[in-house]
Amino acid sequence: MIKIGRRGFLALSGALLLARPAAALDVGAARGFVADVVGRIQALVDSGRPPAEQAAEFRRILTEVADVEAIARFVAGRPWREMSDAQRAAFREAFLDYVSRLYANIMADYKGERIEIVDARDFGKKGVLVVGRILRPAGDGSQVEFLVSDRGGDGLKVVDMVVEGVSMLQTQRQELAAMLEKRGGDVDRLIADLRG
Amino acid sequence: MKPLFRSVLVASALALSGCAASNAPDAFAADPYEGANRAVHGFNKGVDTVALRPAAVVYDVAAPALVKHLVGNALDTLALPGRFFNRVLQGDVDAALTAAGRLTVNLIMGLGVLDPATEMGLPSEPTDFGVTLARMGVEEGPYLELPLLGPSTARDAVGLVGDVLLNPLTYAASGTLAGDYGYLRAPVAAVHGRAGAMAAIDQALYESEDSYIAVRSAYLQRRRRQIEGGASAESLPDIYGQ
Repeated sequence: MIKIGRRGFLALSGALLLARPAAALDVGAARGFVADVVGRIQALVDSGRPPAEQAAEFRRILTEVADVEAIARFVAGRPWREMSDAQRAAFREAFLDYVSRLYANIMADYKGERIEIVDARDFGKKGVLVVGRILRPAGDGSQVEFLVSDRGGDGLKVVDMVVEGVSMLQTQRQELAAMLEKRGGDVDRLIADLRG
Repeated sequence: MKPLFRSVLVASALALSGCAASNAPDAFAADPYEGANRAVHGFNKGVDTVALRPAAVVYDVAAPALVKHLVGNALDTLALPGRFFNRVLQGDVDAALTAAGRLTVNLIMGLGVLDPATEMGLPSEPTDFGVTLARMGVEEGPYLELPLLGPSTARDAVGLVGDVLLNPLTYAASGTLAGDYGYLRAPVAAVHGRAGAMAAIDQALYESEDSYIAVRSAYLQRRRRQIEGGASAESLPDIYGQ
């Protein structure tokens, strides 16, 4: 017979609480996390710093708030499995360079505009989709969504950004596949070109 | 203890390789006509560069915000009869009544160019025959890029024909106001739409590595979302599931 005392019982239930499945991602926390990320990006876009500096700073923010490892694996698609560890690391860094340039460029168009968080929906193991509306001085607002997950095991991370229904991950995965095909499947050449 | 540990290892290795194998084909888009589609894409991009984009830039700068607003409302009003018939075919009575009510209110109180209906709880809910076909269970089919009409699929191309047939303006005689309005609609809609999505379309056409893939990807993603009625668990990427 095993006897569990009151203290043992408390310790056990505490351990059970800590071991709750990661699926129970808090929608409110995800919403707050995205509001914080959006605030940082807005401050950067509005700072009026030169484009190259903005891209570098955006890269730093991305490394911190996004699960870059998992994103790199997803956008690389099938070739990821054939890459060596060194190639994977080089690809991840080159892809970061590439999207930082790309998005610093895109975000410059949104200078002075505000993003208001309007909704957050739980999609189970896919994560929480936080919905933002871009408020324009004139015209109707467009929609930008952030998919947030904690399945990477390192707290809340952004795993995708969806602009007007177009997912950055899906688009980049397809574009990179086409780019790789155009380079005859040469991963090293793709990496060199992404680095720019 | 040791054999158990080993069998756990073997089992998890099998599970991992199973996951990897199931992910093998990247079947986002069925595109058997890619060669022909790319040729059409080159043509469409040329038309955008020399005609549509310049026209949209002029429209964007020259037309006051009020004019753009009225043009947008007029295009919406013109689409409502077709949307009504599509909602009926979709079996969506609520949305059909919304389209009918919206048409009545905006035509009579808004003279076709104002939108009092939205404030009255009759919002614009775009739909078309491509969506109707999807709801009927018709498969998406291969991706197509159509000359001048742009990205589409086999199902959406059939939908375009269906929408022409479902639109009462198609049957208005030329020479009458309604008949001529019908001819004007497509180019006006193209310029208005291009101006409204200037940054996004410029980005896909002129700043991406491969504009054909960028357009195909964006079109299919947006279209699938519209047909599903918003974001769904299936439409979101399964980033940790590989």
